[in-house]
Amino acid sequence: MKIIISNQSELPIYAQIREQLKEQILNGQIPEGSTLPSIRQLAKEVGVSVITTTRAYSDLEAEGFIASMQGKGSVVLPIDNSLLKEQSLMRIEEGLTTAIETARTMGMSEEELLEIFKNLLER
Amino acid sequence: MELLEVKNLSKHYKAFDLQNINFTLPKGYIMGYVGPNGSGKSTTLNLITNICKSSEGEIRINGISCEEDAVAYKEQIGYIGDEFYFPDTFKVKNIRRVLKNFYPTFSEEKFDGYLNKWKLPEKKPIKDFSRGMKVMLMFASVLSRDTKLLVLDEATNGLDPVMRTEILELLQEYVMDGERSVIFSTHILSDLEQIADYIYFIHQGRTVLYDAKDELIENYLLIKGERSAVSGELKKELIGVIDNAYGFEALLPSDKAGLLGSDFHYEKPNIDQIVVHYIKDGR
Amino acid sequence: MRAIHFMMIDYIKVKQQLYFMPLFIVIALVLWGQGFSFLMPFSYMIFVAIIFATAPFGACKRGDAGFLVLLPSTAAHRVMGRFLYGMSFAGLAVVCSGIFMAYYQITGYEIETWTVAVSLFILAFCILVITLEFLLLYLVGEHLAPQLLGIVRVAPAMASFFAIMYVMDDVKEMGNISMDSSVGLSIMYHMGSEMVQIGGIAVAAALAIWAAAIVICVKVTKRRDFV
Repeated sequence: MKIIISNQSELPIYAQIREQLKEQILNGQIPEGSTLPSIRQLAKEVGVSVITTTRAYSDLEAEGFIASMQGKGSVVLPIDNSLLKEQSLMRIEEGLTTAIETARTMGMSEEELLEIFKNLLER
Repeated sequence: MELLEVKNLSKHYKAFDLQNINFTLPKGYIMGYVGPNGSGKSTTLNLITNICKSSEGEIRINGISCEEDAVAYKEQIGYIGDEFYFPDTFKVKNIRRVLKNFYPTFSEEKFDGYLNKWKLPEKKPIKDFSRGMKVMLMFASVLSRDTKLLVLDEATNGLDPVMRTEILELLQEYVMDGERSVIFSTHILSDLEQIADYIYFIHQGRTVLYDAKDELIENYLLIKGERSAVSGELKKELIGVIDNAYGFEALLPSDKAGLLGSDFHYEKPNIDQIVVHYIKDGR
Repeated sequence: MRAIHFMMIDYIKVKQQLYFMPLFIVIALVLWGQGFSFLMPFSYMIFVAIIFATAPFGACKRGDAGFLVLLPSTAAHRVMGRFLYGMSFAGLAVVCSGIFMAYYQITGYEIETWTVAVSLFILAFCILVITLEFLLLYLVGEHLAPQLLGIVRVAPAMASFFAIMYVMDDVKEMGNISMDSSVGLSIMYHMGSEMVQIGGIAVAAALAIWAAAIVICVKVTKRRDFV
């Protein structure tokens, strides 16, 4: 397991931790059933605040990657493909919603927006 | 689960007022108490350590106030000040003796262990110690007994980056078991920012911001751009605009990001930047 | 117990000055050996006591608060420790003089009752002076005490010493007292044993004032900021 925090990154630190853990769980570097370090241990090792690591873990828990078990810590769950799909779907919707909202605040028409979308797809 | 509770705390001086400070620090967390010089940071910490007496308000550590039980209250505190607080004539052995006399939980082995670890000479007069050695001696005296709250008043001032990093680790180790907490004051957060869970920002004796650090950072964007590109609506929302020859820099609440067009560059601020812009803003 | 621990802290604080203590005791002995009355070394010891009693106030520094005030204790412990420290020097004077006296008696000289009475009055006086000094220093505040002490440290001790010397001006040789000595001493001389009792009462009264002063100083310190 490795975590690299960058201060230059656009992502907040908790999200950097979350994304890196997620990536390593998905590609199998952190195998299913293994126990992650405790929130406080991780905070100390990475040198970030406890609240930050707490948030990273609770996000991972909410997304179904890990489960916190009493007395055992946070355990990596088997990768659930339908869950993954749902996750991705949600993220696509989120991204598109942001795009639509921004377009509306700018007063952009639907046609213009679709045009951008098509152009991007073809890239 | 609150370790430190500060309620409606005020202290009136002739030339300075500390007004209505309110916060709680849960067990196992670190709070950074920030603000410019003279903003009331040390005053607050002196009230917590009972070096000064509050004009109004209440302070409790694990539910105990100093008025109720001064001995139990003070036993819980480990304090490290910006000034070296051992009397000049003391030697290391005198410190060991006094700590042993006063603190039932004081462990000579631990104390000597820290002396060895940090290469603090037993024989040398402590007033001849370097700034770094003085700080580490204070840490040794505090960490060699059982405390619940570390109070650090500008403790890392004048230390080199290596020592600051070491202290950073010490503090994280201290809160590891989730039973003990740290409150530190500083006028520059820099490397301490990462480990702080909560930030209390004070200016001229008044509270400016108080929140979990991650929230604070997420709640603001640091905007850079050209002054002419700022719309009237955006201008109202900008906090602490600092101009330079080629543009400006300011804070913007994240929920107002919609007001930004593509003309601006924006990034996550750090706490020091939030402090600077708020002070510039005069709020 | 915490008060006693604070007393020990005061000793450590001023230990460099305390190294001179044996020297003072030797001087007292030499004075006595010179054939002066027993009262001479005793009042000298009292003089020394008054000087040493206030020493820790001079060693107060703002920054010490972070250590001393944070020690698990109340203002009462700290103040009491300081008062005990001050009184310990009066005690030392008494113990030293007691040893002198015992030695004297063993070697066959007789201590006259009136000198005991005078010693008691001097002791009472000493306790009073120390108490008043402490009251003043605590009223000024521990953080300002060093400045005040810098100006007046030796004055009360010197004044006391010369006052005692003035009264005893006529007493050059032990027991050699004439009727034209100062009135006070004649009374002592002639009413020996009663005066010892009154002297005892004087010491008791001084101690009572000392105790009252502790209470006042605790009250003052409790409400005060250390820095």
